[in-house]
Amino acid sequence: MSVDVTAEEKVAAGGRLQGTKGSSGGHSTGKIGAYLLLSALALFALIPFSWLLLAAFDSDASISVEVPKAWTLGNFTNLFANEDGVRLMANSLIYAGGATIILVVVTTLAGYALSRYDFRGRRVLMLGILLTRVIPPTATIAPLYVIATDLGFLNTYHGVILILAAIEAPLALWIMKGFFDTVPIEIEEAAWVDGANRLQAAFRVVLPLAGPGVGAGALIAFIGAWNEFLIPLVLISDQDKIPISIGLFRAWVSYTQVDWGFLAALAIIYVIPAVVFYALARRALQASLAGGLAGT
Amino acid sequence: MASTSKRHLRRPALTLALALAVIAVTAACTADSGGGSGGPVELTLLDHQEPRVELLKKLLPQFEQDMEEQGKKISVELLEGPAEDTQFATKLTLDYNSGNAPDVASFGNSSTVDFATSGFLLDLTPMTEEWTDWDEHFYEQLREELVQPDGKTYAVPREAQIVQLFYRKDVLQSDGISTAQPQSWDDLLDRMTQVTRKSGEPSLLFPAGEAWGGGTFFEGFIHLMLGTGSSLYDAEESKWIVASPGLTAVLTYYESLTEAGVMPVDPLLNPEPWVPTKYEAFPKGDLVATTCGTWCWIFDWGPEGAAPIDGLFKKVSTWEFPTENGDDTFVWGSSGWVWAISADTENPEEAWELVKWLASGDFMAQNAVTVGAASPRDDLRNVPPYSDYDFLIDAERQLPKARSFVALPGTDKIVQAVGEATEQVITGRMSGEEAAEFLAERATELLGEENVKSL
Amino acid sequence: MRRVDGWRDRLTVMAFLAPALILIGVFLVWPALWALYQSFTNRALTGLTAMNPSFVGLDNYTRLLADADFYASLLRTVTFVFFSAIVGQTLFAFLIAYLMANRPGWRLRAVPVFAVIFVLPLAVPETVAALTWASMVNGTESGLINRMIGVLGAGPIQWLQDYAMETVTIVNIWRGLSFAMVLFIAALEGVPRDVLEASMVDGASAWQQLRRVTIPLLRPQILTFLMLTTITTFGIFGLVYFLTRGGPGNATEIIGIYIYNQAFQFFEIGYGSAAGVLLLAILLGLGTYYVRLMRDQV
Repeated sequence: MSVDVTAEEKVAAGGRLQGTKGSSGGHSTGKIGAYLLLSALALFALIPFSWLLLAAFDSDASISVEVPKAWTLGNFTNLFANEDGVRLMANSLIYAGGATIILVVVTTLAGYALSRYDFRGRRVLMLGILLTRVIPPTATIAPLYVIATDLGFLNTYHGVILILAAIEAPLALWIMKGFFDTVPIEIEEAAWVDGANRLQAAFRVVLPLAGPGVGAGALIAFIGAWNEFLIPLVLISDQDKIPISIGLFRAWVSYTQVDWGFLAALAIIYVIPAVVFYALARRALQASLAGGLAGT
Repeated sequence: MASTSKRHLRRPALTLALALAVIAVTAACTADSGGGSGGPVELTLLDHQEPRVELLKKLLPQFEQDMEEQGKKISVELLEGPAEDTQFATKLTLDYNSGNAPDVASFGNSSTVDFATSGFLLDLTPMTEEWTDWDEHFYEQLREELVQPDGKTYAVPREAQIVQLFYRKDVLQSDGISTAQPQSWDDLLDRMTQVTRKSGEPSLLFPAGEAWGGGTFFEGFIHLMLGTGSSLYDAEESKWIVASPGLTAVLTYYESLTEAGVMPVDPLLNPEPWVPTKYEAFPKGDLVATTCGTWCWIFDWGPEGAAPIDGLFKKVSTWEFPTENGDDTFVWGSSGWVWAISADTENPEEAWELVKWLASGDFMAQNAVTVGAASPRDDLRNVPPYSDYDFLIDAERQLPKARSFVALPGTDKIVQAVGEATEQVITGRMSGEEAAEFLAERATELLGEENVKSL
Repeated sequence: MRRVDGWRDRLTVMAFLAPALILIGVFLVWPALWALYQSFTNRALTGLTAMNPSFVGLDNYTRLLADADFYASLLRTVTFVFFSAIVGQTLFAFLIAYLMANRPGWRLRAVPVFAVIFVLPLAVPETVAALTWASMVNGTESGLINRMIGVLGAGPIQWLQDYAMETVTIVNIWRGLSFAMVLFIAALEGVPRDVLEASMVDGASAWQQLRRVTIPLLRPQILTFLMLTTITTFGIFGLVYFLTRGGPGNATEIIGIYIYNQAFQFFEIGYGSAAGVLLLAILLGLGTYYVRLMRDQV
């Protein structure tokens, strides 16, 4: 069976311990150079955000980076006082929240089954699901639009929610399965002995233990759905149902009539959940990207 | 190595995520409910771009009231599409395709052909025949332009856009150069060459090159092309004419303009070429003539425009476009935007009432001044606020002798070929004749052998 | 893990798997198959064929293979992937990570602090990333980058006009580079210390150590990351579309934008699907290799 994330952490922690033991003297020029390089990279990573942070608090913002002449929270109060602003935020929450709920239910079930039951074709199924991960909406957007039209999914919350959930499903499923693998089967077996049936054991014993994993899967799914741009761009034409990503785009494209301060404030509100959830789920994300879906 | 906790996730985070999700779905359910009841007929009306939408917001209650006085209960829900034109065209097409289209929509007339042949629009021919205003008051030129290849009318003009040559009366007068209407291309070139000799600056702008995008075609090239005896499209054979004496003449004229130094070549090669030309050189008086539409009076050089000119009406005036041979000067005149009804509408009669209301009286007069266009009908000259805008009314008077070119399938390809060919000429890489050959080749390549012919 | 045995187990497994499989099947697999089917039709959203599409055989593909714009778009995409995913996010990120990672006799205490910052570019939604960069590369004199080069007496440069593809590539490197670095640092620090020490005892130089020990040990992770980032970069749409909508002209029309434009600007669904199928073929090719790398984890 696969090595799990916990194992990866042990390796990382081991590295840390060894590091502390290792010599920290010498190489001082090298270290200064390294820190300079790190700082340069950090600047590179951060500078683009300067506009966002300044413009959002500027009462007279433009597209350029400027220190506000008059600082204000007005852009944020506008955002929450303005019907359009609130609607954009609510819509994004509906799409991402809805997709997350569906995804958690669906992939918890499937992840559990794939982790606990051995059946013919299981391996092929797992790899097949993984292969679907490489299908980007970009490639299938034209048929997706036609299918959504036929299903009556255009301009509906549930249509977009289901499609967003599907896009995130393969990755989430693998993550969930990885976490169920970390819960020793003995714990479950003990519950059976105590008279719980299989399902009861799964829900009462395994699910709580795999909880953090389910949470990580949920966060990753939420981030994916929250950020999605192409799907709502094509499937949602009703101005009242567009999420923040499309709202930002529409505003930016109309260019001459843009209220930059409002836009920056909206972008900041939009960034916060993405960044916070990202930070919370970073470990799992890192693992999912570094290939070892479940660690080294 | 991480500064955060070694645990994957703390429980509260999970709870928070789930709580958010629950709220979201609850919200989704409530947001989806609601809906129609009995009572008035509900129409949807789709428009885009802020000034237009704001105007509708302001005036639509008047429509509802007018209808109520006639004993009709109609309420209109105004929908706002994306401001940018391409995005709007995409949205509207997708809406029409999926049966989500608004009852009434407004769009640029260039889309009418596509929408009509696709079966998206309601045939308005029977309605216009019964509407006496149509024949009596709408300019024939615009009505004919709206008749589709199948002989039917699917849209009603919202405004008339008129493009002319705007020139600096003050500069010409102080230079002692005639301000009379130039009749031929040569006439125009002579005068502009004189100006350039004096100032040392380029004096005449017909947009050209690739940087201006579609403007090279619609704000430059086409106003010369319409002044030749050649046509760009053979409607009978449904083929583009990609080589003709007229085409060669136009490109050769671009060559003459460039050689004489009257063409602002450098600005044309830069991104946003309209800034150094229309917004800088023209207000300054270096550039003395440029193509521009009625909207330029307001949005370009008006007091609140992009580059205001003080005493605009004293300094700037308009000419019609001269022609190759000097026989018959003309202006460009065309339905800018139109009103159309969806073929799927459940309330065609009420929708038609709305279109009629939008295409007459108060609304049309206000719309014209809001977007800086002429009225497409001849009975609004005394209707305020339009009655106060002499320059729009003057433009309107020229409509009977207007020419235009209605976009056809493949127009985008011709636009591209023209952009590339004119760029070759103004950069001096090709002569007019060489560029004409190049244009024919490029257009054939882009449109396909079977869709083009040569004269 | 236990073997499925008896109808009860079978039913449970099926019931547990069904929702996920239906979701993936209907919205991921079916559209891919539908793309293939549709690519043989002249389905369009406007024009005479809008109402009744017909079967046109390989027409879309022959047209696609004769379309200079398509080739240009494909070449652009490959270049984009090469420089942003392979050179920027993998090669470059790995090298920096190698310099930074703790190893015997070398430890940078502040790396975790930087790691927090490095997560940001990837954590923000692509639309926001694009928006912030739109401000950075604004072509007027007040654009931040133009102000910086203005100090040196250069510019102002219209980045998104004159260097659009370069700019977009850099934005994408920015987005992935620092996080990739964090990943690689974690992987490098996971290399067992005794192995490294053994090679040092053998007198291997740093370069030899990297080539003969570290890289072979980390090969699976590096390859998997490389495959994933390559695949994702091929599928990029929003970041570039937001910034340039494929322009100016076609200068930044990467394959995703090409497909979108064919389908939703020119409304040729059949033709757009054909282009989508070719992209799918590329990605499934890469994907198969990726799945092979992951095979042992099942």
